[in-house]
Amino acid sequence: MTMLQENRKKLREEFSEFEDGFERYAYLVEISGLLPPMPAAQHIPENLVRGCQSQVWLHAWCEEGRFYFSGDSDTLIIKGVLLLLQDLVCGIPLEEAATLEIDVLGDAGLTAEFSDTRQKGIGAAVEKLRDAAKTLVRSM
Amino acid sequence: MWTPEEIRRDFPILGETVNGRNLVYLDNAATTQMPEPVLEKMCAHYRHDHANVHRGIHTLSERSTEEMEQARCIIQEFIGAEYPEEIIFTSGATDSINLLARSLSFGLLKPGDEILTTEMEHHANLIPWQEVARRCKAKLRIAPITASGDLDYGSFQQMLTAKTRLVAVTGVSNVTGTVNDLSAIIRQAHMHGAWVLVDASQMMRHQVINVKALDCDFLCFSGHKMMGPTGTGVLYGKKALLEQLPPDRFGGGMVDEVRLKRASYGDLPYRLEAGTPNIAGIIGLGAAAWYLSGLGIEEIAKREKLLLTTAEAALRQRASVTILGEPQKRAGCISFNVQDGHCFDVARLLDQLGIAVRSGHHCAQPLLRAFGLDGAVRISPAFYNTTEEIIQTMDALDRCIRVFGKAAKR
Repeated sequence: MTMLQENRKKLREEFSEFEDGFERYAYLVEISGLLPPMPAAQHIPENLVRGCQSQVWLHAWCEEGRFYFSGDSDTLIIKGVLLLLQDLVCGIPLEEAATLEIDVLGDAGLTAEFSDTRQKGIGAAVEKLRDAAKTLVRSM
Repeated sequence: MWTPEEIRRDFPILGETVNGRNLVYLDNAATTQMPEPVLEKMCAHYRHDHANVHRGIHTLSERSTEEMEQARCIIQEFIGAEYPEEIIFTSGATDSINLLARSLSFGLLKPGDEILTTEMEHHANLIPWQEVARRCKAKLRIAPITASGDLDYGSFQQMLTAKTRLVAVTGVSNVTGTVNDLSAIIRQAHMHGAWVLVDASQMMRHQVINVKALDCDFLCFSGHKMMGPTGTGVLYGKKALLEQLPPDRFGGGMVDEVRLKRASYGDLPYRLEAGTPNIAGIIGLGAAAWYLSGLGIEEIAKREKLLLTTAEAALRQRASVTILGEPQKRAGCISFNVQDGHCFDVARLLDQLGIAVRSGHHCAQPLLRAFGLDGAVRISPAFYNTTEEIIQTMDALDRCIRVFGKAAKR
């Protein structure tokens, strides 16, 4: 099992304990404060995710062959989702990030609660991370 | 006299469950729900009468035409217009304002003319005027609001000059619920020879509208904020003024005679209604106005005021809630923010508890900016809501507040 697969398993287990959508969302709000602050210099238009209803910024980099990213959003729920994404993805091998295919909302049992538009928004965030990883691979 | 419980039976959608909870629908400033008589009327049209209007001589076309023109007369009466041809059907208030703006830009607005609007407008009553001012080299002036969210009447008066050609103003703000003193605005505008367009989108359920008594030159509204279907709306104009308006779009239904290289146009209201209209929608809009008249606008306004006052009092009791504005008179809606929570998060959490409210900039970014904000949560009750639903919403809000408090402490 890869590190990413293990992380996803942990996430599914963590979210299976909640009773309903409100509890899941409330949890996302609660953990939103744990998302490491994104440096102000990274709040630039190039880091904005297109296709998100709320403002979402992502900035990716590579350290010793492993993939990392910082992120921010104006809404707490999305910050919570970004923290889940960090837990899943940060530290995985860069090559694996370049082919990233994950359904973070599905793993957290939130698919039913997020509208199609919002799911596409989160999908766009994952896509931006994957594209960033591809660019990093090419530049190596 | 009717009770909310009785009235709710007319609205099948209110029986929906959302996320496993009974729906509490408090987004009526965006779109209201349709009662059975409106749904039935539109269904009956599609089932029995559906055909194009004003053209055919066959029975269905005649029936459709008759129903649509009956809707025009109902609307005429509903807003106290003098003639049915003063009612121009559009696809909504946005369409109505764009129609007027485009039409005025065909030679009626001259370079140097001024259009006066306010800081509290919905984008629909701002952007068309920005565009028209740019195209006609006219000047767009914006009257500011006060800290309480009222129109700054002093500034408004100062900005009215002999150059003011049009005042475009909302009757009720779609964010703060501020009720504008239209009589004073219209009187002052007329003293300077300006026309007045009233955006009545948020007014329709909150006061009896009589365009003659109000003496506004133009007035517009959307059907979907008054129990009618989406895609319907009205531009009212005084007949003498509408007759001066060049058509803003061209095609079938609006012509007198067409030659290959020129055409002459028909009479009002058709010359401003090119193309096949939203026949079923218009018939539904007529049924909605009929329905509201049956319940009585004054009674509806009284019930909605009570619900809004209850919500406002409850919001004021919550220390972590900040209400937008304290206008002298509020109708229809109230907006607020919760400490440590983004408006999107509040609305999303409330939705999980079955409560539908609106969050965001409410298509009024300049107004939000005047309050130093980029978004807010909005509650907008209608007469089919109950006091219990407001209490339930406040309990749900308390749950959200606890979640934000817990998050802030982490």
